[in-house]
Amino acid sequence: MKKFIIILSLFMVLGLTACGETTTEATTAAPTTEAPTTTVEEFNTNASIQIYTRDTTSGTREAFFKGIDFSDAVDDNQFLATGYVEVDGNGSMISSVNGDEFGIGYVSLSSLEESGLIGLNFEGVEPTEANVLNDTYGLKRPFNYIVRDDWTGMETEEQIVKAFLAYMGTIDGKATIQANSGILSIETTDQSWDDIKANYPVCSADNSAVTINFGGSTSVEKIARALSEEFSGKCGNFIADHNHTGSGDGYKRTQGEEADGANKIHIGFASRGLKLDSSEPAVTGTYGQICWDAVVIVVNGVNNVIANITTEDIKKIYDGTFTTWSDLLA
Amino acid sequence: MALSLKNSINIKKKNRIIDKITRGGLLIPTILSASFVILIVFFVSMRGVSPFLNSQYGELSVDFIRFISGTTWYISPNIYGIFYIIINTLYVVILAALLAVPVSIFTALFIAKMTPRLISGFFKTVVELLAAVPSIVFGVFGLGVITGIVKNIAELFGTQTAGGISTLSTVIVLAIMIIPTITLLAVTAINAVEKDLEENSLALGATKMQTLFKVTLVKSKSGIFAGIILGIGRALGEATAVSMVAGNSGTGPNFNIFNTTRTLTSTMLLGLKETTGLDYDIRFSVGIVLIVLIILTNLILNFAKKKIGRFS
Repeated sequence: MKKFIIILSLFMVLGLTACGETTTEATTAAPTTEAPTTTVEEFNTNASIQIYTRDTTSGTREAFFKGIDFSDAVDDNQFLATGYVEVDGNGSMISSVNGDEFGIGYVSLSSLEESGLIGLNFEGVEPTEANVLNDTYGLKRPFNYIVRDDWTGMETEEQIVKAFLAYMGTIDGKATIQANSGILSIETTDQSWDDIKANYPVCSADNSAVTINFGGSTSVEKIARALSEEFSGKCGNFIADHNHTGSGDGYKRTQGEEADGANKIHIGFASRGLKLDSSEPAVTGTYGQICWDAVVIVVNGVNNVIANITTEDIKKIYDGTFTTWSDLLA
Repeated sequence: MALSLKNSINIKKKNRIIDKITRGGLLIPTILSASFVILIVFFVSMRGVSPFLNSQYGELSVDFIRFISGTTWYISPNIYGIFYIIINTLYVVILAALLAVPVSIFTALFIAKMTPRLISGFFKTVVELLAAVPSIVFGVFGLGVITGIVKNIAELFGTQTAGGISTLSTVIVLAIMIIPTITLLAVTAINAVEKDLEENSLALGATKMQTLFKVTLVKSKSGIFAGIILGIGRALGEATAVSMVAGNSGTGPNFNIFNTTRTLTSTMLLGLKETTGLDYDIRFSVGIVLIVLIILTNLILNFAKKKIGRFS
């Protein structure tokens, strides 16, 4: 073991020097062999803006581009300025923008604090959870649920779903939502599941033969899965079947045209407001908001030229109208 | 006398039976491992073909000609193009090989011929350890260290990079990853050169250096080439580390080493965990192209190896 540690540490030291060798080899091609010593003290506004984006399957990307009124770019890169960098996760986004003083990107609000990046004010409002909850911060979207209205022949399922909705309002449920990046406020007056479970006798029965179908938004899937997995154990081990296909199906498959079809679900989710006045006239009492999801626009820690950004400006950055930081500041 | 003869016949018979059983025992795992390859190819092909079939996706089915010749990865809803990705993949791998091959061969020469046994054993262990480092570690190292260095290099040239995320970073990460593979095989090849041959060369008055480069290296080039083939195979198939430093450009091809790039593997990996339907299946189509590309490259390199080996 001791020998192994010695070899390992030697390897690490050598690994670093070996890498140094490789790079000096690359630098010899440069006209000067001096090590680059340019440390950025003053932010060079003539530099190009480097945009970073998540890939087209990302829910954060969807929230961001919809939030800045640039829906075309939600699942199509061709509307973006050329030279963008596509990263495959929140973590890569953070490390990429951290490594590029001229970069701009977006992360989910819950990961801003530990990222070391500067979160820009959006339309003059600081990106904090408080500002999301009081509805002043604009770059956000609601996560909603919608359940069936017609429960004929599914009485047990109805009871379980009602209990599930109640569970989402308890301290236990809210903690799970928060742990999965949902933004909500946990009040001291909130009850715990133990306080209210007596009101839901269905949960003390054995429900292992009952299947509850979840569906709707893919963005809410992570939260919904965490909740159902946790709640199943507390409510007679019912089977949670998740089939998330998009916000539109949340209404369609609970109360809309597919409510009685083969794809019907018991509870659906939408990562946007329901279109109550037009295509999604859900019955009062069958829908509600679970939490908020917020995105924050981030720049590198040395970027001191900008603290606030407007919808118009951020769109112009991502569509390529602004190419340098001075374009933006002009 | 007769008894012992009978005995020896019996033993021979017994040995033959043991041989047969052993052969049968070895056959089963061989069939198993071969069938895995077939299963994987079959599974990838099944899914990978479906995006092009009208029966599967109807109006949304992908145009194969555009897929194989396109210079933009994705245009909503169903236009995919990977021609530029194939070109960029080959470009990155060739550059990485150009960087790694000389370094590996010199390392191998040093380990095999220039150092006392104790030190060479130590270096060999170090290189072996490097070969065992998982690719995600190379990716994190690439994103944390190499991109920073590349960013500074680009600044020397007066170019702005995306924080060092570029073709050059990808090339360097890949080169570091394949150096141990090539080095280890090269060491084996160099050690396999007959001592007589080298001693003859020295006896004829050649210097140690002349012997090393004109006899030892020439004699072992076939084995070294086998290492290069393995290394290139690893570089072509590497996904995790590459997708972290490549930048995943949406259009191309791009030959500027300071600009972002995209490889077949990073394309498959990006978004795989979140996507569904056509966008999921198309990644298997990219997988088929990658398998074909790797097979073709191996065939060509093996052909080249035979040509080179003939003149040793």
